[in-house]
Amino acid sequence: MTALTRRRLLAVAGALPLAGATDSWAADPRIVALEWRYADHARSLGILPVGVADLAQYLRQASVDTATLRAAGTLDMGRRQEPSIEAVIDARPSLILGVDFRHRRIGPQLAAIAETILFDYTQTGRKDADQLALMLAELDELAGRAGRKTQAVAAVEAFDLELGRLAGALASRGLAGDPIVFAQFPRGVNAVRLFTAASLPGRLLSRLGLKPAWDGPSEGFGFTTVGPERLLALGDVHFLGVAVGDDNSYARLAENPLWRALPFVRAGKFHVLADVVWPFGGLPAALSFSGSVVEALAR
Amino acid sequence: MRVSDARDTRTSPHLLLTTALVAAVLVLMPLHALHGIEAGWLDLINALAAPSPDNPAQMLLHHLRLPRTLSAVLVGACLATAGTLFQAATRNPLASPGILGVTAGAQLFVAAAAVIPTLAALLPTWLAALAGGLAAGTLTWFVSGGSSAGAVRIALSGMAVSLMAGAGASALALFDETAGAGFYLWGGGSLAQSGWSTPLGVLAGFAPALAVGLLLSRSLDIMALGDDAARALGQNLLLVRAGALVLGAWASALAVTLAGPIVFVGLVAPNLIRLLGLSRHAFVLPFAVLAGIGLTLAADLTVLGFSGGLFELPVSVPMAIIGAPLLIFLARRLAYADPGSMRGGAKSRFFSVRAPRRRLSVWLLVALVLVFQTGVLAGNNWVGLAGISALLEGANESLAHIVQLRGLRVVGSGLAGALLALSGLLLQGVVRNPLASPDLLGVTQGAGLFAVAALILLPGAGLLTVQLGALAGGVCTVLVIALLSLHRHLEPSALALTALGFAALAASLSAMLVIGAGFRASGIATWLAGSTYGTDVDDVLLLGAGVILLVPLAALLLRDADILSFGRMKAATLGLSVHRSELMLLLVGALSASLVAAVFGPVSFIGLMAPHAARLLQPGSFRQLMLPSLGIGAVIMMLADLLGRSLLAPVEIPVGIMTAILGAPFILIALRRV
Repeated sequence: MTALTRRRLLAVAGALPLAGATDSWAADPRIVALEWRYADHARSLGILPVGVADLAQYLRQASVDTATLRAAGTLDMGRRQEPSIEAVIDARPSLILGVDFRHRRIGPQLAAIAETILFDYTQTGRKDADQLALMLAELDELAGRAGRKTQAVAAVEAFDLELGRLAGALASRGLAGDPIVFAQFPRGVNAVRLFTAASLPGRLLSRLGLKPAWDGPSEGFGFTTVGPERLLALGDVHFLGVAVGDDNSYARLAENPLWRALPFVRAGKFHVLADVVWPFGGLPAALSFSGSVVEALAR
Repeated sequence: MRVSDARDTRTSPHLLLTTALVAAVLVLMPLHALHGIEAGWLDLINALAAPSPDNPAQMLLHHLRLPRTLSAVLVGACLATAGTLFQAATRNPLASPGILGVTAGAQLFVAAAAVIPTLAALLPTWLAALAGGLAAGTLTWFVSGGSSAGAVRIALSGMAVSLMAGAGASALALFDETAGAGFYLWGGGSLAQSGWSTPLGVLAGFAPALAVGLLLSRSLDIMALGDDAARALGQNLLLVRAGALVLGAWASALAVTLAGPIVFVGLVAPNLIRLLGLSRHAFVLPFAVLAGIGLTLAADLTVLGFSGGLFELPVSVPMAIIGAPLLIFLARRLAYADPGSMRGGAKSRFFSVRAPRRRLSVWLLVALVLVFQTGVLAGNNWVGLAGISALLEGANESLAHIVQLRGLRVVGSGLAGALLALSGLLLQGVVRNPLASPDLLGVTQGAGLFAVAALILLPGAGLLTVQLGALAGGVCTVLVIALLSLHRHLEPSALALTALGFAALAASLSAMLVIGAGFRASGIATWLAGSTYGTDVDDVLLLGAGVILLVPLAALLLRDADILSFGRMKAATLGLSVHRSELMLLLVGALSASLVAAVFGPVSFIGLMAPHAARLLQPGSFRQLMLPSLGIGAVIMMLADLLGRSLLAPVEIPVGIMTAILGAPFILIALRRV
């Protein structure tokens, strides 16, 4: 969009943001999150978002305090991929948080509504980026702009403390340093997604004192989609898989006699998570993921 | 498909062919089973009978790879059987599960059963596949006009039904992003299995189907003589034809249950056998089955070769690379051998002028104004009288903002609809077939392929690169098609089939790229569904410029189209440079559709619907049809956009899905009458 047309749009909308004055919204932060991780970040800073995209599915996540969000009157913004711009306008936000790979095209339109930050998110296309460090850097950036550094530091400290406690619990069971593979079983196909060591769940497993053992190429979000034959080559590892619903590839594979012959199944090192665990979120999602992992491994 | 008993009774070529095919299959099967596994022949035999639990290679062979080999064999056999039966029943060498839309229909119903839990409880996968396959096949049969339809007509009708089913499947995928990724994985077909139970179940379903098919072969031979001859010989045409079609749909459904949609096997295998000179179905069917098995094994071997590296390739990609050229070859052969079969039923009704056209223009104007008004007022929230008065006083700024965004979308949709209608009309003028449109002639798919390639291969590039990619893709596709088939000795309809081959090729290659892109597929899937989402001023200006430049040009070219509709000979004697006119019509048609694809992504059916609707309301020459087509295209597109953003608000339904849904009843009612 050219500068001229954009200025015209802004003038008509009467929502001219004050360029450079990042704190203009910090006094009354009305945040619209168009990707779940940024709703997580807002909550970590003690702000309840006024709008979240795909709200119903976000509320289903284990880390979300559904009652509080409902009571706050948080609105649904439509799908994360094509959020309803009309709903965003109606939510009267002072800050809009989105991700570049989904919202780049509507960036100028969002900027005409309120100040907008589009994050790089999981660094689609870059292989070796430490995705936990990226997530924490995003939280830090947001905290700086919101004038809530103290809350951010407190949230990260609590996170570190809890992760340390969980790592201790694993170490006391003699699991420290064990190789582990984290996987998702998608629906309707026979394939499995294995997460790399640099992915967010991979980094969390490292922080828990485990050793992520899958070293395949990343498809952009930190996982590789493989056929069931690859599982045989994983060797003596713990295997931690998320299988939601009935028609996922775990439900199909578990019926195969070969499944029982897989090294990690025979050694009793296969752990399945049936909760909705979302491995791309902010601190609340990361804490909930880590808790579930330790609970599953301790079982 | 003529019976030539003299050739068939010679046994030596049969013996040779049998030996060759059986040998090929016997070599390919162990190659497929052992690919990438460190095991010898002895392991293979042991694995088949009783694998030792301590030998991982034998366990892998027995529990994962051999089921996959059996699946490849079964899918090849099922699809070849279905293709042979469909081709015999329709007496059309192009009829096959993929081209008749049967595969796409089966896939849609399976996807629906996966997403909607209540449906899954009612219908097991194989029954859903059968129901979908039968429904889509019946629809194609009905739209194309049944047994009297020419090859081109059946192929284009089937493509339209496939597009519709595809839009339905993407609608389902959009509502669950994580499952959506799964659909894309499955959308190109995968032979990976999780055990023996599904392939063995399919084997149990297929064996009796093959037996019945062989029993029918004598009746199919008689039917190949033509309806009249067959009736004279006492054949119950209805029974045999219905039997063959249902059996074919059953075999296609079994293949979809096992591996998802795999295209081209059903087209390639039987035609390969017939090209070798066989025509009696007692021979064609078993030989086609062998050829189908060989093809599928070879295609999946390619997939296995790739999966060692980066990602799982869909089986349809190697299949389309073999199949699309064969389709193009068949099209040319058909056009040379039997020009009559290529006529699609374009009638001279184009010239029966009727009724004053002023009344239609008035109605169209009224409709345009009404849809525009509703489009601006409706959305997440309806703007009532109070809202309007607040707007007039300038009291409600956020409402003003919303209304302005709506206005951009409505105007953009209208312009895009007009351009798509124009493209359809121009292309129908070249192909002289009422079923021609940018999405059936590969323009949309070509634009999509280049845009997806730009999105994935140049991740840093801006929107402009993607848009230029789409434009280049649409125009290049048409240029290649024109080079191959704009020929004095070829019926213009041969172009339609060549284009269909390219459309299939481009669609498979896009699928491969989307799967290679992994999770980013969600964003690309939205783009591929076609969307007026986020229209801005630049988009509207671009489309407006397109309309201003292309419409006068089209008005000139459509005069040539009117002369061309007398036939090339006559047009040439009237002083028209036939080749140049046809090329120009194609290019401008491609350009206007690619422009829309560049801005909104591929949007189907408007290019097909609008000129037809105009012709139904007021028959006339191509030039006379232009303005009404533009108006109708604009109205349909604005309506689709309006419904897409208000039906499930705040959830947006992409406009491409809405046009396909609006197009479905139209196809049923209108195309039947052409």
